[in-house]
Parts: sequence; C-alpha cells; structure tokens
Amino acid sequence: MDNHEKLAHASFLRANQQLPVTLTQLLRASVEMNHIDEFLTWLAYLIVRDLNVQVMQFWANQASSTNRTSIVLRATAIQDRSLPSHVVVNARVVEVVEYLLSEQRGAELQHVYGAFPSHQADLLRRYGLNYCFGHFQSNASLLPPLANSHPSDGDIATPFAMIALLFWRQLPFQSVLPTVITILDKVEPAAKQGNLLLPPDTKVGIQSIPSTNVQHQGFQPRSELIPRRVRETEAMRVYSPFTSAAPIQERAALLLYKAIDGRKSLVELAALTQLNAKDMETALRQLVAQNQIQVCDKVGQPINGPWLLE
Amino acid sequence: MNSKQITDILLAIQASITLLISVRAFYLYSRTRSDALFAIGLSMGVIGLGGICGLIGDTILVSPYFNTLWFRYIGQTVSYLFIYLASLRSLKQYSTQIKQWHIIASALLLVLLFLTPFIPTSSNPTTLAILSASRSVICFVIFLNYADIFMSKETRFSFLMSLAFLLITVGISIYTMKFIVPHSLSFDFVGDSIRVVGLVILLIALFIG
Repeated sequence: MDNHEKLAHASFLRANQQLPVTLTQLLRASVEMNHIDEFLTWLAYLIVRDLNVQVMQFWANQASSTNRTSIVLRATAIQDRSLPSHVVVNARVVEVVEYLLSEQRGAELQHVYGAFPSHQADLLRRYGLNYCFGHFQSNASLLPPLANSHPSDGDIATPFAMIALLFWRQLPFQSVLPTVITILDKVEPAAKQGNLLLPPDTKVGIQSIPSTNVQHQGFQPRSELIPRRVRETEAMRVYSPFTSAAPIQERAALLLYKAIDGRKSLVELAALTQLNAKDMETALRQLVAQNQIQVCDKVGQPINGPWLLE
Repeated sequence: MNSKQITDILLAIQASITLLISVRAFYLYSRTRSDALFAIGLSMGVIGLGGICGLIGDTILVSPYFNTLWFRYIGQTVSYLFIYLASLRSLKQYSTQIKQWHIIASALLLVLLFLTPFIPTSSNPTTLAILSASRSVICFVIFLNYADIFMSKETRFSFLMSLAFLLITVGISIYTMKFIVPHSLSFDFVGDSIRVVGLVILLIALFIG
C-alpha cells in the first residue's frame, strides 16, 4: 500500500466512523439551507472531502414553461481546484447523464472507458479521473428551478430525477461505495424534510416556487465571502497565462476582475471598485458564469448556490 | 551571406519572438492584472531589449564602448529566474512581492544598460563563459520544473514549455562552448539556431498551451 493509498484509506476510515454524524448533519443542513442547490453543493463537498472522491456532480432534468427539458448541473465539488471545468462538464458527459436519466438507472463503478466515449475517457484520464460511478434517484416530488435561474428563463419545477456522478483517481475501497449510496439515498428524504423539494401537487410555474423569491431581494454580499480567480494558481504551470486569461468584455466585470486578488471580500471589492449593487451583482454573475472566478468562504472553501443573492 | 549576417538574422528572430510575447503578455495583463502575465511580459521585454541592443551593437554602434554582453547575459539570467519563480505554485501567495522585486531588478538592469559605455569590456573567456552559462543553468532548472509538472498533470502547455526550455538550455550551452573551445564559429550558429527553435516552441506554448 503506497502513501496515497494509505492516505485514502485513513480518510475513508475516518469518514466511515463519522457516517452517523454525516447523516445527522444531512438532516440538519437540509433544514438550515434555503435552496436545494445549496444543500447539494454542501453535500458534494462533504463527500469529496471525507470519502476522497475527486469529483462529485449532481445532474438533473430541468423543464421549462415552453415544454422543453434540458439536463442541468445542480451542484458540483472538485477536490483539485486546478481541474478545468470543461473536463467534467461538457456535451459528452451530458449525453451520458441524459442516457442514464432517460433509462432511469445509475452506472456501476467502472473504468471511465466503460462509461464514456474514448475521447472523453482520454480527457478524464489525462486529468487523473480513472473511475466513475453514477447513482440514480427519483421521486414524485418536484425540484425547484436552479438557484441562479432567472424568471425570464422560463424554468419550472421539475419531477425529481437526479444522477449523482462521482469520479475517482484510484479504485475506491470496497466499502466506500455502500457508504456513498447510503448517504445519497438520504438526499431526497432529507431535502423533503427541509422543504427543499416541492410536493407533487404543487402548481408548476416559477411564481409558485418560494425559493425563487430570493431573486428579487437586494444584493447584500456577505462580508466574509472572497472571490478568487479560478485559473490563476495554475497559470504558468498547467496552462498558458495567455489562454487562461480570457478577455473580459463587460466593463464592470473587468473592473471587478482586476480588483480581485484572492484576499479582498465582496464588500471590500464593492468599495474599491465603486460599483453599485446592481452592477456588482451582474459582474459577479458574469464572472462566475464564465468560470473566471469562484467565491470562497473565509476558510477558502469554494461555495456555490444562491450566495450571489443572499 | 557571411557569418556575422547569419548571427544577426538569428538574433533578430530571437528579439522578434521575445518582444511579440512581451507585447501580447502586457496587453492581456492590462485586461486581467494577472501576475503571471506581468512576469512573462517584463522578462521577455528585457530579453527582447537585449536582443535589439545586440543587433545595434553589431550593425550601427560598432564600438568597444557599446558592449552590451553584461546586460544581455545578466538580463537573460534574471528574466528567466523570474519566469521560474512565476511557475512555482508554492510562491503564488508571494506574487505581489515577487512582482516588486522583478520591477526593481529590471530597473537595475536598465541602469546597467545605460552604464554600458563606462563598464569595462571583458575579453576573459572564463568570465564570458560563466556569464553565458548562468543562463543555461536557470533554463535547465525551468526545464526540470516543467518536466515535473508534465509528469503529474500531462498538459500540452507543460510539455511544450519543458521542450522549449530544454532546447533553450542546449542552445545556450552549445553557444557557451565558443568561449572555451577556440576557433569554433559553428558553435555560434548551432547554438543560436537551437535556441530559436526553443523560442518558437515557447511562443507556441504560450499562445495555444
């Protein structure tokens, strides 16, 4: 057993010992959180951290008022922050997720070559993602639209059908998978308990979903949230600083991006750039959408979900 | 075409590539304030300036009082050193301080350039060999660093950068031989040609890596 394996094993043992705590946390967190995406993101980070999973994603169907259904990424957690998002979020991955959702089944733990087309598997392997596992769950409850969707997007509450996709560098220990499945099986009941899912008889339509009301609240950034440039740490190492520094066209977004140094909080940045609340919110949204920045808490853990609007 | 013209053409190509990289890096820096871009822009700018000074010294200002070898060799060593520092993950948190040191070092290099007429020219081959070889030492360290990154990350950029700096190291090393082995003009051409190939790969690495 090499050092990496020992570390993974120790991590797993610790996580396994803490499993009851994790499930208790799950129920408590679902009550404390405001949106299902926030809950899923929190859970994804917990699993990535405690079970030594390299990447974890929650994918789901998203219906719209125009009768279109698309596949959306509800939450993601990545152990290595330098991993480019396009490696695990792209059309090939969406195709596989779409297939699993349509078949209403998961994918057993396997080598990525067994689950993805060879060029996608090559890409995953190049970044050290060698094994994957997909867990399907569905229920009559409804998933509210994405936390960052806009009313004009026309997204509506959608029947709960979700794929949890996990990637590992090395084959996980035998008992890791049952632990993961045990936790994932508790997602839907915990989310229901926290009123993060809507009852099946809810009138489907964006106005009927309480969580979207948050989008009309004023912009009040939490003082402790710190935006960081996503690819800055690996520029000149893994990527060229020329290609990782994609030009930012919007003036406010560029102004904000220039001011982000990985240390200043949102409040400090707002004061420094003298952007008003509306411009600040728009700029943040654009930079996050372009994957230029991620927003971290004060201990440096990236966070997703409705933080922009809190 | 005589040997001097060939050397000047190679020098011109090297200066053009480094200045092109510098201009592009500073343009992107103005839009992003990325410390890595600043390091590349300033380092390549100094190396390119050294190349232009070398060309001027060979063609227009042919004078023993315009000996830019000190600026060129020390400038390249210092500039490559800051490129190396910019590629170290462990130093990312000190990037602001490194940027300040880079600016100070570059300013001192410019002072050295302007003092060229007052600096004694050295014809001691050992001194010249040490000055020239110092560039290849730092380039070899950069090569090792990118080779190590490539082993773990397997990205195109790290591969091209390691290849580029391997060639630049070899090119400078061969060029340096001319100070040790007498009457060896071929070392000049071969060394400079390999270095040009290395710089072209560096250009490709930065633009598409």
